[in-house]
Amino acid sequence: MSELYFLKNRGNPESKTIDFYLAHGGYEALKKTLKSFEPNDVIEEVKKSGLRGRGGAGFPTGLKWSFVPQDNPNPKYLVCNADESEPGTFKDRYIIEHEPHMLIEGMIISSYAIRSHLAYIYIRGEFVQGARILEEALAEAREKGFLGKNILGSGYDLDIYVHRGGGAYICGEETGLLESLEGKRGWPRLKPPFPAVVGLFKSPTIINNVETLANVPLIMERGGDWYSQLGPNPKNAGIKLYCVSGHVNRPGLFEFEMGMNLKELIYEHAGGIYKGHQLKGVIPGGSSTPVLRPDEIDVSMDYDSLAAIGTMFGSAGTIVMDETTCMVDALYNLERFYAHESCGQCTPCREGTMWMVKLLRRLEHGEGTVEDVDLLADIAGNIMGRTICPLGDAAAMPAKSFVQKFRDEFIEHAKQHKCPVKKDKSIKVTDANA
Amino acid sequence: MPTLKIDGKEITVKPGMSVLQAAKKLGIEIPHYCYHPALSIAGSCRMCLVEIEGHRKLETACSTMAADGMVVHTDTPAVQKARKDVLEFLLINHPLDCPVCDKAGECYLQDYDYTYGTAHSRFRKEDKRVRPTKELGGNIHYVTNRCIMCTRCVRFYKDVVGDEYLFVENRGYKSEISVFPGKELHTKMDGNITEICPVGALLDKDFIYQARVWHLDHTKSVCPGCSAGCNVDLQTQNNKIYRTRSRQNMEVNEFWICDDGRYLFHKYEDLTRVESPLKRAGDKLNVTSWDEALSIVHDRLALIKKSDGAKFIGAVGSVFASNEENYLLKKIVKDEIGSTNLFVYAPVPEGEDLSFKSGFTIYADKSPNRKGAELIFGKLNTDFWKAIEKGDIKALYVLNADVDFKLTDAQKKSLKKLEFLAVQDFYMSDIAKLAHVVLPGTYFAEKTGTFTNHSGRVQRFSKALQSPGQSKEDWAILVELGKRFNPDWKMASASDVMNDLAENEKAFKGLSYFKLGDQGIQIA
Ligand SMILES: Cc1cc2nc3c(=O)[nH]c(=O)nc-3n(C[C@H](O)[C@H](O)[C@H](O)COP(=O)(O)O)c2cc1C
Ligand code: SF4
Ligand code: SF4
Ligand code: SF4
Ligand code: FES
Repeated sequence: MSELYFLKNRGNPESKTIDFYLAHGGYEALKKTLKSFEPNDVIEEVKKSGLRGRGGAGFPTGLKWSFVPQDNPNPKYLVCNADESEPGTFKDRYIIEHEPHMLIEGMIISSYAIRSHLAYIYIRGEFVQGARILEEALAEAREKGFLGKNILGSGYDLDIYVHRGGGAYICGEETGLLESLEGKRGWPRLKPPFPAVVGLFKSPTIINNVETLANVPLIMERGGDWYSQLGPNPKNAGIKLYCVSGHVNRPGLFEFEMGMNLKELIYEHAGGIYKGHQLKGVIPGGSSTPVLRPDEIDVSMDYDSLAAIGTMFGSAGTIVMDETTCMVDALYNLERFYAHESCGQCTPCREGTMWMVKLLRRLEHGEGTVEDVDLLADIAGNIMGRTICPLGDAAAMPAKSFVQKFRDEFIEHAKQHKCPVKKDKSIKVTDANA
Repeated sequence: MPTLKIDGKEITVKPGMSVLQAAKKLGIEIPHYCYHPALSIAGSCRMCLVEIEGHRKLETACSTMAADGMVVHTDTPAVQKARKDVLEFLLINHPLDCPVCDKAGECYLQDYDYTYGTAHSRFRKEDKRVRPTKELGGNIHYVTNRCIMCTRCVRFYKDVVGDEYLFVENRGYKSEISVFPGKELHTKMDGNITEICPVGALLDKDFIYQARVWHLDHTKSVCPGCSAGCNVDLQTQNNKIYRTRSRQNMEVNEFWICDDGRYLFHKYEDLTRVESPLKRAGDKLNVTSWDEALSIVHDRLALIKKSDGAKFIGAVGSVFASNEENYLLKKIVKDEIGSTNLFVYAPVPEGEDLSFKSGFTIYADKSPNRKGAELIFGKLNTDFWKAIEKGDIKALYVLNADVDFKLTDAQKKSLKKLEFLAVQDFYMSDIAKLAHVVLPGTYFAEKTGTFTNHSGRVQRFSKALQSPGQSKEDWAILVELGKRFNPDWKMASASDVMNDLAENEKAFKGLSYFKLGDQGIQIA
């Protein structure tokens, strides 16, 4: 698809208004859906499209919707996960602030598909402006009859509420989010039961990422078959927003079909490495995805290709690190984030993340030993797969991969009793956790 | 009904049962911290990880439901490693101050680490997390550094008490337990959290630094604090109770006792005990021997029977006395003396029962054995005052066992009308002070017997302490007295008394101490 979908109006301050959206074909997909699709047919269409969740795990969206038990007497809920807190990720924020109606239209269609009459947008607390824009957009949509009772004369009712988060990364984890939405502490729940069966207020609930839901109008407009042709293969189909940050000349948000080559993304679209430096490492899909060495980045950015080389597409938050980056320091920074954000329920995550921070601090300050390097990887291994929610894994995977792929640099820290990397002090980093 | 295999043993369980519970049924212990049978599942300590064939990762046995065809392994190298790793995580920041920790000896961090952990630490050079100790209110002392964040205490209030008091403050490695702002711990159930806390984080200030738990002797008893009849464990050393803990009985108190019951033993410590038999000489009560005291009682009662008739002799049983004691009193008065003037001391309950979410109830009826007294005496006749006033009674034998038995001036005056008053009691009660003969008895911790709780469950309590001086278990005093009237009495133990009771009282038919066991038997 050479035309842009999400970013087509970049720079136009009008793009967030309903008048602009309507003037450019907005809500046509909704009209079409309500007129000629039964809810189950919408699910089939989304299944056909091959759309996979853009929140991180890449779970097939249509399949997830089909898990909602329609014989359950409780109300069904759709919850949009707009908590976007994964370091390196800033795609949902764009949609919320610049194309809110794309999300709202997507949510109405998706709610219709799962027969929900009440949907929530759980938005990261810090997104104050985004929350305001969404409220305004929802009011516009209500006024135009796209929300409320008997939408467009179809007999279908729906309302959408914005709920601002309390300010914790863990509230982006879907069950932590549900707890928080219920007014409780954002502690992830044990699964099973899965939210599709027992979710918000013990009722069937579908949780989808902002970008996932914002794809739905496009799928309904052009058809699932058409959408599935985009990207490298039907299992990794569609269009995708890519976030590039770090040591590149042109950091920012990019839109391509699924399967953009990572090397091309960095060197062509993001303008290559900052100041002509050498590349050292790339975190491809948000801070929790295993790091890649420069020789590994000639890879298609899609779920299966990245999984095949031992990492993940995640939230498509690509973080580029050049030769002035100390990998111990970078990991130290990441692990402080995870230790700070661990909800603290599970022993391995609560204790292990902090232990890793202590070891990394020691290594970076020249007080570490060679055994500490192995201990670090071992602790990460002892967290992996042993926790309630994937935050434990999210904290462990970077540690394992950093030590594995940049082992020499870790060992040098221990051997030289200091950080051996010439850091570029011209880039100011404020240390929020210090 | 799912059938699964755990460590090669097959078992069929009720649907909804967890792998951990199923394993327990098979006698296989899966170590656990956050799981408690009476609380909702947290699944957070990760100590109970097991291997399930076909599953990609280890699973928590506490939160994984047993399923048909499931094959579980609880002792593979992967499971052993996972346990070691969780223990390592729990211990890196633990102060390891067992030598000064009250929980040492009954601590699951100690026990599991010995069984499943490793001896050496890989947590080198780092400073441990240090946080100040807190008072949570009431008797609850919280040693923050020892807390393993299992949240049992938090869930206890939510699931059992029914109102939330404790919560986890802060996040991640900074998490700790706190009381909700604006709330105080005064639920009458608070002491229980010191029992369910698997480590030395929650301590009972009443017990702190008093004893090492492995020095304590344990006696199975029943709380006499109200008609609930909670099963308790009296923990003693050098003939002193150090603490009362709950004893599990799913039919009665499940895992809990209330704080009234927990600290009840202190109430007896403050009383002036009667340590030897006493006989009246004018205004004074002088020490005498058992032989003489019992002879006086027998002779005076026999004399009044002869001169005035048996009906001028009365006796007062008690809803605080055991089934055995009330039974023996009735046996003496009815069968040996031939009087039907059987009264019962039975104060009218004040206030209301206090029930919690789990159903645990503290009863307004503060007597442990009203039901038993009713089964033995029939409808309780409490008005011996009128009979004394009218002169219908000239001699009275009072079996008392209530620390709150206080006399008004008018009542004291009435009692002075009696020709003879014998009081069997363990402390210098108001009524004992007026007696002609005082027979020194014992309180529940010093004797063996049974109570019948509000629901009609007969439960046994056993002697935990030697009673002071010459005082005796009350059943023994009554047997001695009975023998004065009838030398054929053969009972030599509380158990013999129960057998006699079981033979003669319809409601108790067929009971014996052996049959009652530790958990009692429902008879009504
Ligand atoms: C620690 C953690 C944080 C997460 N944060 C987010 C988030 O901010 N936004 C999001 O959409 N998904 C997040 N996820 C993933 C969600 O749990 C969930 O998989 C996703 O919202 C499902 O939507 P999707 O199927 O459309 O991808 C997070 C997961 C974890 C474990
Ligand atoms: S893995 Fe970490 S964040 Fe997730 S539930 Fe456990 S302690 Fe909380
Ligand atoms: S105080 Fe005890 S019961 Fe409460 S969370 Fe800590 S270890 Fe668990
Ligand atoms: S409820 Fe009654 S029997 Fe149970 S511990 Fe409290 S006072 Fe004792
Ligand atoms: S006992 Fe199962 S996780 Fe704690």
